[in-house]
Amino acid sequence: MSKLKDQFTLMAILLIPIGVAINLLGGTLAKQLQMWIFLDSIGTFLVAMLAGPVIGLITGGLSVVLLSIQDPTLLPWAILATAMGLVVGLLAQQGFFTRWGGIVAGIVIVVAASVLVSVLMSIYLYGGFTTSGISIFTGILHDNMGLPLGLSVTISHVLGETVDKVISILVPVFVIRALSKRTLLKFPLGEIYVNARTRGTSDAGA
Amino acid sequence: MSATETIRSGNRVRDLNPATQVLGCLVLAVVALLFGLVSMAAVVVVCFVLAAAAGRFVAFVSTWAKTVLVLSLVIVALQTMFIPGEEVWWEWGPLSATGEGFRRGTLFASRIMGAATPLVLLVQLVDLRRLVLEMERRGISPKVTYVFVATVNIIPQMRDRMGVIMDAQRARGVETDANWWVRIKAFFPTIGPLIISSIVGVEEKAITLEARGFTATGPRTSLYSIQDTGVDRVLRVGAWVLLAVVVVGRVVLWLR
Amino acid sequence: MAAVEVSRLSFTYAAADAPALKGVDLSIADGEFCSIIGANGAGKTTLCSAIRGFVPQFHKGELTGTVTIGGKDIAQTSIGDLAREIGFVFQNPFTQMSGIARTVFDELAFGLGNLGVPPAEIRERVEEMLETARIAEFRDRDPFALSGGQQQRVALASMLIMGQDTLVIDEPTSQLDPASTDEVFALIGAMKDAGRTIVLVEHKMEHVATYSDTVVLLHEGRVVLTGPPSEVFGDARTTEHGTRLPPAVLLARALRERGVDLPELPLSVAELTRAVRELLGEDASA
Repeated sequence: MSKLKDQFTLMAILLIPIGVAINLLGGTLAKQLQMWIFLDSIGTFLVAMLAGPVIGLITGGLSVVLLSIQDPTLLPWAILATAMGLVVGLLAQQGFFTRWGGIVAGIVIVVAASVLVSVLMSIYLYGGFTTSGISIFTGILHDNMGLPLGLSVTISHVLGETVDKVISILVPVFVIRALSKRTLLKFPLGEIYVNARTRGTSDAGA
Repeated sequence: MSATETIRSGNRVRDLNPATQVLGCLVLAVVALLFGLVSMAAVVVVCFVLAAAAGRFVAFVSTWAKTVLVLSLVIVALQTMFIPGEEVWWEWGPLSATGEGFRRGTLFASRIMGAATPLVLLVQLVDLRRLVLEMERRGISPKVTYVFVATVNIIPQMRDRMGVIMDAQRARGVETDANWWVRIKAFFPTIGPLIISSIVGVEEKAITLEARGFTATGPRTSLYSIQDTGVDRVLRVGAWVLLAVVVVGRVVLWLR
Repeated sequence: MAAVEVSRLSFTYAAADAPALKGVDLSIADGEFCSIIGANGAGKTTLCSAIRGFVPQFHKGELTGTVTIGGKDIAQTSIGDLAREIGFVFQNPFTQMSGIARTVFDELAFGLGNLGVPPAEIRERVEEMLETARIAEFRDRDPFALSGGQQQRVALASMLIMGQDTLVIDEPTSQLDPASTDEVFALIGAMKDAGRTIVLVEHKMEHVATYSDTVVLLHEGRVVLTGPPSEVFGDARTTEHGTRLPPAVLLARALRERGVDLPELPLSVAELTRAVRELLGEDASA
């Protein structure tokens, strides 16, 4: 892991406002288009992929803090958002998002981490049910099919999370492919993507 | 006129130092969580009173009802219906309301209400510019406060730009009533160009800030200032004392 | 002493195949207005970035040669501290706003606050610059609520207010309409009159011809020509390397081809009109 101070370049910190705005706009747009998934972490993932885990973590956390200005009951989800930024940033540092195998593995890890954290939070902070539509599904699994609460919450989260995270990871991956080498090199992790492009001349995105 | 301007609203509660406001609300939240329903109810009442004193009663109640109250009621309802138990109140199809579920729901709801109500109040009291000035006064790096303010400012700008792209989409016939696949396909051309242009703009923004001496060494100055009065200091000491008392009290109660 | 001294400067961007600058030598005197012209990709923006120190401290790559400002090698100073020595303005007005100022007044004050100028002096200098740049009517407006042309004047004013002796201005008007372009040039002209050294990249040749003391023609990373505007615009190589001539120069050439004997090359339409009137025996001052 690179030194903490190296991650706080001016370019990196200027990504944070953009990442937060993308999160909020993605979330708003998904709601407007009635897509039933959140899509509110695209900005966090993009920033984490370009600038690493610490900047990614801050982007996620700040997004939720700003949402909480309108609805403070959302504040605990900052835990999930920071965890997501951290995980994606760590994977990006290891070069997961430069090749398809790594991207698929990355999605699996991110979905697993997200389900783990959100299930723990649903159960311990909200008693298993929140105002989201998923809670009805949780309730049916738990009450009618006799599954334990923890398992019900987990199953209902996995489906939604998978679709959400596949999109939220693929959008940044394609955005990074569209950026020039010169732009990429100005971000803390940019070299990883530039090197991958130079190596894999067979890569269609290069 | 003096060279530095102190930002004031004219209301004594809102003109308290932001550090005092933040600490006060956090202590209220902790108090609410430590002694169950009674302390929760007391904190909610205190928050209502403070909101009224700050001249923000209507805004406070409206946000509070739409968020904290709704979530609390939903949690009580869902827990009552879905948590199985011996004490069945009534049954309706596959659903059964239980006393165990109701008590569990009330417990979670009161935690949420106790922690979130002071936060709703805090949002009504704090002014972002004053908060940032206080952070700078306490030696927090200008990079941190920049990110904070720039984030708040950039959201409406990017929302406007997205509105322009959305209108173009609509002109091409992509409507929200189209089927799900059409809608999901509309998502990418809307957000993609916005993301790429924003990332490319980061480079120029960095150049702008460097050119304006943002990373220059040496002391900085500001046209605005913030006060930390004796009242603020007394209130903060009071808040810390209250915090210590309730935490110790809670521990003593547990140990008995 | 030269305000800006560029010596044997070569630069290749990281991940680029060819160098953007190849052995550039350039000396700009104190108070001189120097314009850099050339086709796209000639290295104009790279040269500006190098004079401001963004190359190689911000845009990474391989650099040889030196740039000195007021006798100091800029490689010894961080790009943050160079803000005290050199101003830098570029084409996109939107990204030249600080992003944290609520009003045009605060936008202008931002740079001075970063340099630690006392608040009373900041207020004084902002008031003065609002007048000079003719943006006083916008003082309490949100910078992002302004038009592109108004924003560019605010961007320029926000830089000029910092009072550096040397200003690097890279295509300040390429996104502006003609009226805004004239406003921006009036402001740049005022800075020249105030004795500041100006390095300008610009495609609008009539403005280059009117304002410049010296014009530098770049081609493929090399300096091809350096001289006063009449010399550079009179040289065949200027058009060969993809530069459009100012309208007055084109007109003068057409007149010469038709046997009209103009004594010297006029650089602006006003100069050309005067010369033609003299030839016709009219009173030039009429």
